[in-house]
Amino acid sequence: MTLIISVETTLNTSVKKASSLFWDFKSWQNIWSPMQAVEVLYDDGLHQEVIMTVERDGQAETNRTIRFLRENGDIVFFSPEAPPMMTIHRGEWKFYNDAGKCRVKAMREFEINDRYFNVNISLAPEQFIKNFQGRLKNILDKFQSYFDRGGAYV
Amino acid sequence: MNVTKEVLIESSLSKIYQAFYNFKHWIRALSDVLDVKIFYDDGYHQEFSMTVSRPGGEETVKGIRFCEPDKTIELFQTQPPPLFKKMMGTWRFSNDNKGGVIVSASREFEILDDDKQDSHLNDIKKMLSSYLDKNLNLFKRYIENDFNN
Repeated sequence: MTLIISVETTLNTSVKKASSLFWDFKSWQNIWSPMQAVEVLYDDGLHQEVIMTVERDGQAETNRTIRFLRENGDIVFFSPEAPPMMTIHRGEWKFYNDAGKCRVKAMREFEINDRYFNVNISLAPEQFIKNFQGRLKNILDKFQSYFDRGGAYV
Repeated sequence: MNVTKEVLIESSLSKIYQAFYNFKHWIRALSDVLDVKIFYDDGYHQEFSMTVSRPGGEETVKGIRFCEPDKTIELFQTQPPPLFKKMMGTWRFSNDNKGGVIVSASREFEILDDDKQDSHLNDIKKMLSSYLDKNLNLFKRYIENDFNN
């Protein structure tokens, strides 16, 4: 069964600047601390293939991700090999102009990998989903803080 | 550098989209496609490799496609053909309001050795344009004559 979660917030910047920053994986490491490493395999300005190492639920996780940048600044992506808790993982970052600021919506579409949760019984799927939602909110909060500081890293 | 070609195909939009989306039809429609390997396909995203026969021998490319059903298929190649540094493109599908569908295929590319003369670049552009045109017309023939799901 495909599940969808989404969170959104307002960033104190323009759609263009927000989209550019979300596209730039090198900046992620300075803004969102669970992003431990990024290797960009391909980037032509509109398409990216990256391998990133992120911390999730106390574990380091390495994922390959493919991203497409849309003309309006939206970024859509998928993971050809989903993280271990999921069998499918894809999503998007959508950016809207909101009275001169940027409304950003993070959406994830995924399927739970039952085999993972049958073995790793210390984490229930319900808790994983809740954590996932919190994780997305945390990402948006960190980007929000970045723009509130006038675009300075902590 | 860009190349765009288009063709009018007399069939339904969904059937035409399926022909371009599903790689099994590529092997049937284009005789120079020798093999396709699909590494990922969730209905909207595909990762694949394709081996084609060319005058200089076999060529294998590796690519990713983002597919918006009945509208567009967008491509970039993480492993472009020999001679190319970068290759990306789009197929757009639109009704012509007379019962047919216009399929527009565009490619944006950069070549290796781009310091070579303009004539070299023009030759490559002509070659790519010719393949694009030929493939669109082979798909047209395949879809209009012997396409089966």
